[in-house]
Amino acid sequence: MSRVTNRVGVETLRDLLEGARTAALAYVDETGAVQALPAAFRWREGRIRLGVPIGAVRGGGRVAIVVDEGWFWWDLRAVLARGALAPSAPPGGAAAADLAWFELAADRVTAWDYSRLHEEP
Amino acid sequence: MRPDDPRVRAILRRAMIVRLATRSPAGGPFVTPIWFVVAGDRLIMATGAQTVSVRNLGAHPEAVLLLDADRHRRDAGMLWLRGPATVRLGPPSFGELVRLARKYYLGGLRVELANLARQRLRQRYYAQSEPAVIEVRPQSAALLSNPGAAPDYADTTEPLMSLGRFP
Repeated sequence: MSRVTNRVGVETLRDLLEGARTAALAYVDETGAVQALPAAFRWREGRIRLGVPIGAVRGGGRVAIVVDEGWFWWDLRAVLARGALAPSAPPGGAAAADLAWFELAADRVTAWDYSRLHEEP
Repeated sequence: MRPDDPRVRAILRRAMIVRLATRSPAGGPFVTPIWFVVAGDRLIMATGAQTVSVRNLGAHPEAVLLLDADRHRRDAGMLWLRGPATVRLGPPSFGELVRLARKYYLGGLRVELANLARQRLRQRYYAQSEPAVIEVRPQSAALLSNPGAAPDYADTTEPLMSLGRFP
């Protein structure tokens, strides 16, 4: 029997990734507690860069991020990525100067778009 | 800032989406956007019993939440909440369902009507999983600035077309 799913390929949401400027970033802090904060987000040709206040997050740590759009059921879409952060050069510009920038080496990326709800075998 | 601060209550009244951060049984972080309604001092989120968030909260019953402080202005920052979370297997209560329906289905009536022909597909989607409810009772709160609110023009290394300012 076929299954109904909202899952889509990440490339399907390219416009969301290109337009998004904020991601919700989750990590586990040194006490073992889950933590989350908003991060500056840049996506370009599959590379994800994240800007956070200096000192907020350490490189090498494992994180999860989500970029989402929409409020109502048929409008909801999001990309979720998990992986490790490595220090990165900022994307450029004065506004990035007060942030520490990282590149996310994502090993798991999932995307969903309720407007593309469909059956799959 | 306390969770019962009037500024927190005002944001919770207007916000549409919460990003729910949890910790997996193995210790890894996870975050996902989810609908919510407020019931007293709790945030109520309807989800599926087999979701990653439900599994994570079974092992580590604490959550951090991020909400847009102003759903129309990203430079307004984000509300951060932390608190213990509990999972209830089964559907939301009648009162919770009414609040969810009012906020998201009636509030998005135009979108619902535009997709009327696909209601059966959505029903099949929901029928594939058992429902569950996540309750978070925030114990601490903070307003965080949003680093992503910096003007796009500062990102000079990216092509102008990618900024979406030109047709």
